[in-house]
Amino acid sequence: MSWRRLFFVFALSALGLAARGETSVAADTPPATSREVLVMLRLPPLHFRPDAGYVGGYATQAGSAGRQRIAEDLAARFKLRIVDNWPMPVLGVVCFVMEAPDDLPLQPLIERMSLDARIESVQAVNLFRTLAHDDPLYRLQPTATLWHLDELHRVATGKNVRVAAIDSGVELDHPDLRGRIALSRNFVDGREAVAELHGTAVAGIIGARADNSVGIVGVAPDAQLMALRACWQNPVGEGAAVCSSFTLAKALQFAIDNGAKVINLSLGGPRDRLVERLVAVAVSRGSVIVAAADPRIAQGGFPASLPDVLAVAADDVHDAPEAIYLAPGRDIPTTLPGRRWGLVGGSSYAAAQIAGLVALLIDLAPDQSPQQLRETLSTSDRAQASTRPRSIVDACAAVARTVGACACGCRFARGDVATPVH
Amino acid sequence: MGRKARWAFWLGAALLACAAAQSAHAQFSGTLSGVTDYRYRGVTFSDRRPAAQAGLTYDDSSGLYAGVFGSTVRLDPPGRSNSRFQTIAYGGYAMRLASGVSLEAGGDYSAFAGSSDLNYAEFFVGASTENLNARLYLSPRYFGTTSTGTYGEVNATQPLVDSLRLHLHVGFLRYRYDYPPQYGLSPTKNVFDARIGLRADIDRFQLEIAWVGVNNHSAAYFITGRNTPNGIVAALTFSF
Repeated sequence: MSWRRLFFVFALSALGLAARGETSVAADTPPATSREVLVMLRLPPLHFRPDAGYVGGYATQAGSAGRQRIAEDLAARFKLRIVDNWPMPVLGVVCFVMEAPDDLPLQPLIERMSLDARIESVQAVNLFRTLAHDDPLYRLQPTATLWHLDELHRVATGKNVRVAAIDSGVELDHPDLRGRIALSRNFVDGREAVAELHGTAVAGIIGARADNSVGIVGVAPDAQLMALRACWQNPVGEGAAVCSSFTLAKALQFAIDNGAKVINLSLGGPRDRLVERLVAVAVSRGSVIVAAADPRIAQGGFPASLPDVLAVAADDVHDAPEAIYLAPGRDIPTTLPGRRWGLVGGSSYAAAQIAGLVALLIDLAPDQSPQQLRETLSTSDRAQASTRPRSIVDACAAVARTVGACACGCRFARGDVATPVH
Repeated sequence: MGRKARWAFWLGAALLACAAAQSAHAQFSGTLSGVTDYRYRGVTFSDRRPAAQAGLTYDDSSGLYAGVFGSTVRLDPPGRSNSRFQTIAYGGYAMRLASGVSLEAGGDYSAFAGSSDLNYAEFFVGASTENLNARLYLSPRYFGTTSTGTYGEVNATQPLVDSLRLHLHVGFLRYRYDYPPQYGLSPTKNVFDARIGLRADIDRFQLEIAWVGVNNHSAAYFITGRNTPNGIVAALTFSF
């Protein structure tokens, strides 16, 4: 056998190994507390280099080895262990996750690292939590008021609007979701399909299949759902899920790259620079970010408090700031893992409904800016303005205002109004 | 001139390494490769034999970049001296737009050890996204001809599973070379080349296997001294 034949045999074998994924590193589900820091290195723009052949792309570009070498130098210098990395070209960085030993205080470490000129930025890995009620009995409470979906769906169903649900795992073969998830990715670990409560419930509220004789109808039953798993179900507390800066950032990068028009973040946590930068990029590219607001925190917490984000809380929250939109948040029927349905409640699910409604509005008027959508969602019934909080969202009025015609029995045919709440 | 191209390569590499060491904001990276057949724009530059290659690139935080690439070659241009080594020095400026598209403009210079008649410079502009890029090259004296050479290429990459990618390249070259009558070859004008392959990234190694084709097999006879059949090529690259 000639050397050339041997080389090709070796090449084909190696390609086969790569195809079976034996070289991929599947990170374990992150722990509930983090000793990790995110180290951002500059990611140069793609450019000509004759030694890179004809294959482009950030993940495979030859320069990635150079950045890996820098990361290894940094890890050795600061006594860290490299856990993972992810290119984020929308920010011009590649993000390395590095783990610090238990005896190394994180804040002084971050301050020292920020002085290293090779590092674009560095921060701690923050943890975020989904904003839903944990109490199992809460799901047994009476059904909440719903919007007039059947009437809204006569004019819009969210057709072809890409909605990214960045959440825990979604049960892809649930009878009400089967075929409804246009695209799913797992940014937490290497598993293919993970069915978790919070993500499955949020996906169902946004886009469960209509007219299939089972279950519920999603607010936007024809939207293109992207199920992006960035959170993992917390074993303590039924349904609650935890996400990290890194997993959220990866999912946001993916949603931006894949043209999500609506990005739902039914979660909250501490202010996070990396997530904030990615949200800003998403907004600048025309995405509408819907985030659940934590009513216990001023301005709803992070990321709901960001100026370009639609912050949503459940309508049973008292004294919510005007900047927060209110939507039905109690006893919402939705899909649950195990091919079940059940009632859920909390700001998470209020946000999911608004995400679906935004998809309907984009379906009706694709060229609306996020600011126009915000104004459209403001309470649009002057007659009721004196008797109801201004930030309670009226879906019929929003649709009527968008189309400038009848919706929900022509109650808001003129669609006039309203002062923006932000 | 025999060793000048080699010296140019190592000098360029040393300068790049020094430049990278001077600036903590900069990044440099390199590759070492073995290929079963070095194809340059579809044409075999190694007489369908294995070739060894190395490259070094410097990326400045300003967007400026520079690099040097060297490869063993087997060029036997008719009526001229043979060459066994090619050096490409290149540089330019790249910027990433808010949309995520990278734009670039730059130039490169190819030098051939022992056959400086083939040396040529060209300028290029390009645009790249994660999975697609396109470039247009313009050379006033393409491989030493009196003709302006224009080359355009489009490259696409499609991730398949995990670290395996499918890539596709199509290129179009337009220049003119009038062969002496004794060769009986028609003037070269338009040449298409294509490459389709699979690439696996395994840690710091990249393995590629591809089919390469060109529509005019004698198009580069005046450079290589031989015709180029279509065929399968493979490459193993180590990145650092």
